[in-house]
Amino acid sequence: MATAASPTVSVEEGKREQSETQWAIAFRRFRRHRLAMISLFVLVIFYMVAFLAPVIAPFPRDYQRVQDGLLTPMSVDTQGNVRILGSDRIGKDLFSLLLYAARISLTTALIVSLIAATVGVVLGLVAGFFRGWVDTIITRTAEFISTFPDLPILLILASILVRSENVPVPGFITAFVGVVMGISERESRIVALVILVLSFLSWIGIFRLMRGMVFQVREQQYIESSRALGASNLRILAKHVFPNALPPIIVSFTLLLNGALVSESALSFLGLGIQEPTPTWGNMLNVARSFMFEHPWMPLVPSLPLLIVAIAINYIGDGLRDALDPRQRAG
Amino acid sequence: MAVAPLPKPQNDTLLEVDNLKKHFPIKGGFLRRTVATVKAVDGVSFAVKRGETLGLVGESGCGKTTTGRTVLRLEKATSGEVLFEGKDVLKASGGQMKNLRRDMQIVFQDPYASLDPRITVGESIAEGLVIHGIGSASERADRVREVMARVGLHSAQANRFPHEFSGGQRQRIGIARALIMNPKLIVCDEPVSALDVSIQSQVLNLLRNLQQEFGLTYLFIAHNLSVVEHISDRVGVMYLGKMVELADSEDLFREPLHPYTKALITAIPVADPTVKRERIVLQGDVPSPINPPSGCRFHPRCWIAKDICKEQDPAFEEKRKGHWAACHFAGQF
Repeated sequence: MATAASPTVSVEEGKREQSETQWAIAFRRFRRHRLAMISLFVLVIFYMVAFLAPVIAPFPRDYQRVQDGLLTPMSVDTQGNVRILGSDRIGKDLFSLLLYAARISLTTALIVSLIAATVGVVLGLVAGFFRGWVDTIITRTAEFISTFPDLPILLILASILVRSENVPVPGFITAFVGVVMGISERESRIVALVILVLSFLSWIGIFRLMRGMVFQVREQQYIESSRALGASNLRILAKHVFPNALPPIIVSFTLLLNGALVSESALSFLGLGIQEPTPTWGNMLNVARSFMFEHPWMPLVPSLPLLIVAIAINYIGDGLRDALDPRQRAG
Repeated sequence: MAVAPLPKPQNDTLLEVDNLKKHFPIKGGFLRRTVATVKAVDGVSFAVKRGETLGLVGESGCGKTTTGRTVLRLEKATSGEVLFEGKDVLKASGGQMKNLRRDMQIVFQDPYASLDPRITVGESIAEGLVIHGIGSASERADRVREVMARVGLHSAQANRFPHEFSGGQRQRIGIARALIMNPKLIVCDEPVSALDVSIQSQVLNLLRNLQQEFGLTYLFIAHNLSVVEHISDRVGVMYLGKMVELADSEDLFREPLHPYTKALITAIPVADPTVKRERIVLQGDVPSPINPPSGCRFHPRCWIAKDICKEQDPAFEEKRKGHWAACHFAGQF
């Protein structure tokens, strides 16, 4: 605002005055948040490395050689190859595995968050705007789902759905997941089911937030002002309610992403999520668990990146909150 | 309760409001039953002639804003009739209503709340044209520039956002939003109450100039009597959801017939310390519109009230030519 309202620029001179949108202002504030910018950089690097796994990884994903089992980091195996992060019991290269797992874990978390956010936002808009029985049905459903404790219901759903061979998954979904994550159709079926289960339990937070925001925004006078001009409900929702309700949703999306990442890892760690041979950080941790006393570096291999990503996402969320929350303008 | 008779319009009537009521239910208890109703507007009738300004005054909570909003159907009326150029506003279908909205606009009280903060003022001003599919993008841009110039804004500011403007400028944007539709009627809902005194007169003069230029008709809602006196041709005074007096502005201020109007007028400050005025200070507070007093609603605070006032609701009738009042003892003080 400082730039836009500068008193030295008279209106006469500014023939083509173009001032910043609120989004541009928020972005400018975000860029000043150093930790958040570093975190964003780190996160982007992680995603890039994850997608370039087939190029970067020194070994193919499923390469194993029992003779080279349980090597410590930076040791040389029987074939003369350096194992940067060592190997597991059956001689899989942990560095390569870590990269491939990153792709599965990070994209799963992202897809789950996108699905959950979309569902939450749409249902929140509808429930908050139309209220009445529509709101009652959606809100009660959300409350019903959220009464279950998270982890147990996750375990039950996962063990019923993911383990079962006869749960139908539409072909285009498995195909999509397969392409995005670079895995076979059989593997992507399980990943898709995990995504489904996690999404089903994750949309409620965003939904509640969106509904609350819509309640707040729909009472604003500019909504009524548009109605007085003859605007339809759809126009008011899309043009006025949605953009004004969005900022806190963006912040909350980072929490969702974090939650999805950790939930997937937890599920896979417990052996009920994505299973070998599809590597994820969670099931790598599961494998490492058996050797953690003799080879303490093994659980560190997947858990350190998990920690770093989780922290990075949190800082990005912090930065976004500072940038988007008008009550903290002072910064 | 007697139905208030409608003041007969003399000539070209643009807006006719007949026995309009707006009751808000108060829901309570486990089953969300209606436990009481707030009678915000309880049988208001008036007519607005083409090209005139009808001022609507009253204390906070007397229902003047609700009246304005209900006339535009921003609030669903409980009963009554609103005729705009003979068309029934309250019964119009969705499509008919959309067309009617082109002719009936509103300027809101709070210029900070009535503009979408995420949309440029140019877009905001053009919104009505977009909604009604009027003109091409470039024609709309031309029209926005034209209207902005007309309300005293620089058209180069069209790409700016509301937070970059002062209160007075924002109110001009609000007026431009309404004006771009070429409306016949503008409901001005306390358009200057939120502004500095120095800005108030600028905005009032703008409204008056626009009225002359475009032949606009205003329903001007305010609680500031000096403002209303300045801008209105006729003034209606409301008390607790009812119209108590309606007359030409001059008549009303010179010789009020209703004791409530009288009290209001004596409360207008005069910028001269030597003038000794007899001020009528009303006792007590405005009663609750949930449970209004019996008979004349003003009787608990009225200094000329007699027994009849407690029992019988005085009819709103023409006491003198063009001067309506609802009082058993109109002008007898």
